[in-house]
Amino acid sequence: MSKNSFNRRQFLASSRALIPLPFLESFMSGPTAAAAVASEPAKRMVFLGMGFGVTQSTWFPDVNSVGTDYTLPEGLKPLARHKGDFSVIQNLYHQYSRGGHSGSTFWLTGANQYGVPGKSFHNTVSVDQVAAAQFGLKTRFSSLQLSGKKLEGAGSGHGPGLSLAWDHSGKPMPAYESANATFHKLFSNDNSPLEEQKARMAEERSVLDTVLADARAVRRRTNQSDHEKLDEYLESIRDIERRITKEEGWLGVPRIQPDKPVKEPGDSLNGIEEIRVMYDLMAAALQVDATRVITYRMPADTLLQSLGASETAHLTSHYSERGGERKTISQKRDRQHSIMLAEFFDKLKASTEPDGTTIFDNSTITFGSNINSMHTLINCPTLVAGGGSGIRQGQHLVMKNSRTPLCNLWLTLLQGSGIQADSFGDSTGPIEGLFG
Amino acid sequence: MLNAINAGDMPPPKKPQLSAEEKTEFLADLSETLVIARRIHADTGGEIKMRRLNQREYANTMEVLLGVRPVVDGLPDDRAGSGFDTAGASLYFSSSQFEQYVVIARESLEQALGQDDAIPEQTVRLEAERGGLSREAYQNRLDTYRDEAERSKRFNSDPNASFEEHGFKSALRARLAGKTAGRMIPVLESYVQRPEVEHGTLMWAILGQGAFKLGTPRIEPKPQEKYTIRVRAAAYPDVPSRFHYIEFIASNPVEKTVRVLGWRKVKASVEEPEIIEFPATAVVGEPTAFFIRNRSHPKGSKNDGAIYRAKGMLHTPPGIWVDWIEMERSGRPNGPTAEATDIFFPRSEDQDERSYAREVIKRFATRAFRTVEPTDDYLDKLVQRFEANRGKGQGLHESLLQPLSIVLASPSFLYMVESTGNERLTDPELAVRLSYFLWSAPPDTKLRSVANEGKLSDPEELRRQTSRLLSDQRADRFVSDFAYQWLGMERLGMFPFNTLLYPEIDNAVMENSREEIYQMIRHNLNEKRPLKHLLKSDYVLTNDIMADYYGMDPVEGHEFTKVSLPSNSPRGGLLSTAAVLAMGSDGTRSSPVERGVWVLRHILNDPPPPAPPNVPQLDRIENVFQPARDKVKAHQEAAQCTNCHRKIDPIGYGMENFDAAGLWRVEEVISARVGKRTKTEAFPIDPSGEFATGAKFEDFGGLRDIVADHVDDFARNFAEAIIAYGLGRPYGFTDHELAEELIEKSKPSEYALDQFIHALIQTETFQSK
Repeated sequence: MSKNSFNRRQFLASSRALIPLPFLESFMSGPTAAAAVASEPAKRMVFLGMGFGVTQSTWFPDVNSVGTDYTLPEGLKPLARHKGDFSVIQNLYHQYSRGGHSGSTFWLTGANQYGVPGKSFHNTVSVDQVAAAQFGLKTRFSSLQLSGKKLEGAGSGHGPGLSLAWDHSGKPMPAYESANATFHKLFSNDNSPLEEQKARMAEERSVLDTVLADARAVRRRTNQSDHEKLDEYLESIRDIERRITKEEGWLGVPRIQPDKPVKEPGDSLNGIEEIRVMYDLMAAALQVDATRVITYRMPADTLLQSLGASETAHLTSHYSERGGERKTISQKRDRQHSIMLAEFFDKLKASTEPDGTTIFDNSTITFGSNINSMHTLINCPTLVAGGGSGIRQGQHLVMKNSRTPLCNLWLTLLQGSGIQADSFGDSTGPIEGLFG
Repeated sequence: MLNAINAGDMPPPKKPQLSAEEKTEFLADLSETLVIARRIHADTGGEIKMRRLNQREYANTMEVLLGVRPVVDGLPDDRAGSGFDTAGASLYFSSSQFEQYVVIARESLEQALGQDDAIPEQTVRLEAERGGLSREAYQNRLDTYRDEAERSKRFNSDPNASFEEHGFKSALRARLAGKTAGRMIPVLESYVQRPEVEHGTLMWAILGQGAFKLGTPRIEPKPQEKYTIRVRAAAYPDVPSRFHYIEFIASNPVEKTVRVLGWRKVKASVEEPEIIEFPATAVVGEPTAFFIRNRSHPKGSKNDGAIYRAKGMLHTPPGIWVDWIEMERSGRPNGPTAEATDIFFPRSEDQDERSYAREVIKRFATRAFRTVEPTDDYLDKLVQRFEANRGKGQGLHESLLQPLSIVLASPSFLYMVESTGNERLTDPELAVRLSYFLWSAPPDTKLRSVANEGKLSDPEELRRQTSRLLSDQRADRFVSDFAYQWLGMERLGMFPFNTLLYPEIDNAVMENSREEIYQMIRHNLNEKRPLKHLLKSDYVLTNDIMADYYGMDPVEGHEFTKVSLPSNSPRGGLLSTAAVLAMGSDGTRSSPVERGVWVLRHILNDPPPPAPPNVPQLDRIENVFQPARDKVKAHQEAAQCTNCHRKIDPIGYGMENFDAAGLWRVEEVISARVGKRTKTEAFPIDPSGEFATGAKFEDFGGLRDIVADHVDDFARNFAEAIIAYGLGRPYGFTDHELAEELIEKSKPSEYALDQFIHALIQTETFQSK
């Protein structure tokens, strides 16, 4: 399926895709210009977290059928048409994870919650943010965080956090929880005069400058250990400054509209409908190169409700392999996720790049959770798709060591995507089997 | 290593293996060592760090400052982590928070300063018998059923009839329509024959009509407004008492969300109805319509309509007749709140705008910074913001809103800043620490003036002020927020109940069972009762809802009061409260393990190590008809489970006479689907057990006596918790002596709760940086 060779028809298809915009202007006027005309298409990373895990017996392929010839299990069957373009990896886990209800908190970080003395909660940077530090330089949004509504906490299976993403100081990064807000952020232009927009940014800066004056006063009055606390405040002010600087760079650059325009989503979407719209928005965001790094913390309870379940995601996660209503629902959910994921892949494959490859070819899409099933935290369900990190797709890989760090995969994906990283979290090295 | 041995990874398969017994012993030692190790690791060396106001302190502080309570849903819920939400090291700060603080401050300031138009007082009364709730509507439905029954009868008696000619959409409907109609007709007949439904209606869920809901018109709530809902109603005897309550809700018709506000019991007869009055609350900025309905079940559980349908019934019991509903808006003047009146003090004639603005900001910031004056540099910058706004054509007051909002997003406001220099806190700093400890809010005028006079560090005065703060209503917040975290009550409601099995446990019981715990602790604190009473007492704190739930003699009113128990009652003490028992279940069955763990962790101060994460669910015993007690025994088969479960499980056995919802039972009824049918079996309860230490008990009473005898352990548990909460850091080894001191000082009063608090506040640790 991979189209790495260049041909004329693809070039025409891709240039047609850009026709709705004045061709030259869209290439030359914005900070994307450099990226868009570059010979190599940009790398992208997408992480999809589902909270509580999967149905053990019907989501994981049989461990005895490995390699490219494996049989797709029931839960992954809807992905059959993409079988050559994704891989399932077994036996990855985070050694420090202990929370049977936290499928997302440490999924992309691998941190030890009790890693810092005197703190009952500690986290570190997530893999998507490591990627964003590099990939985000050239796009309007360094990264995009999406989440279902009000998912923080144990009930959804996601655990503490505002999204899947944690910043470089290990603080939770906020997410858009509404498809409508996401849509406007990505595709609605600020039509006020440039001077007015500039003045607004100057004013924002002056607000930050003002609180810094008080921060200096607090600093003078307090001791060294208090300064650590104050630094958190200062760090968040610097974050905002960085965002403003970035926005200034994009002043007057219109937001590119996707070639298949996305309809403005309503505000009361739920479950399957909501996830589908979020997938559409993610595909569109990648297509117009608004961002190259996306995480999505997916709704759990509302997905089950739209499948007709009467119980919550938590109770469903306590299904019995012997059968019963919970297991039936759990399997339905697995299939539904695969159906929607397959549709997402379709969209990314239909989006061509200037060089004739597709967005899918240049992206790495990871679907999974820190939780395997019920409260089990070993063998985290892990599915990686796309050609962005150069791994050999279409295989079922069972790691020999049943306690292989999930961070080894994160490191592999980072390095494969061209990011300078010697290690990530508790990684011990990249997973060689993915390239073989 | 612990995990490796648990999982069987260690020792390596080729090396000599441990016997099961050795493994159990070894694991027991190791896991306890680890609990200790985690504590050592968490130790802060006795330091109290500067910390951010947590979510609820922030809301309280804004309310004290401005007189309006902000909506803080968007800020992180600091109770979500482990440990207390006062632990400074864990209270993080992110950039999205800063932006929210600015926005919330602006909105709150606008509300407090009264920029909106004045609203007149207003009362709207609506009769209940409107639309589908009118007698005519019931009569129409009756006529329709009669007609259907008649047509169906004719259809069924004529073998050649076609369903169309009899006005049906299918032959099946034509054949069966008479059946439902035949059952509905007498119900509707008896309804329309009631004289009282000419003016009024019944509160029930009836086939074809959905749940009962009666509302008042949609409003846009304004700051400082008060709302009163009145309902003229009467109760019918001989229905389960749950159906004698009115549930008051505020619904948001735009977001389609609902907040349950509370409940009132109706007692009057139809002959002499009563007027029920309920103080309702609304959130400014949220379109609101108030409604009344029957008691409801939490989201995720089946409601009464579905429960009764599952029993094959057409309607829920009619418990209440409603005549009308009325909403009164208090209205409000156009001016600022009492708290905000002085923000824009009158400008003297000779004062120019700039120096007035500077003075406004300075006074406001000094108050917001808890009596610390802002620096000149900072003030200059705020005044610049004022001037910029003024230059854009904003009014004098309007131009000040932004600088004042910035004050409320500045570190001196958001953080509890205690100056270094002196090791000992200054009196004003001590006042702040004291009031945030006991009120989660800034000091009031009285405390501030005592501190300003330099008297607060005098032990006697400090004691007096502590007592005053504790007996103030504002300390209720401390009691409930502390207790919620101390007793791990976030678990209540985490599992929705299967209401087909437990129809009585609804939103009212959930909410009031939580309140029952807070009231017990509040009572114990106020009345300086022995700590032991929280474990065993011959009284309960209860109200109408909980007394009805427990099946006690009815209690008047929704306020909690102290009621004596008969000597054979299992109630009295935390162990037999609905909240604690319900937390020890998964919503379907009781869990002796969860209950045992809760008692060890929160009462006996002997927390078992966290369950190893990768233990497979005991799958082979799912859907097997076995009492919970036997099911749990499977834990004792494997060595890695035995070492903890031999300590945990017996405690849970002693509580097995309470079902998943906390109601008394003598047998455990298990029903599950087997193939297509539901199979039900009952097992007698065996509540006897033996502690790992050898103490034996025969039943719940015996268990409770043993637990109550361990009041020393409970005292230590409370001491450690109050130290962690009060000092804002995890309890660590360096706090050991402090805990000893608290326990020793409280012992003569049989561990009265206030003695721990006084003892802590009097220590040098509490009064030092």
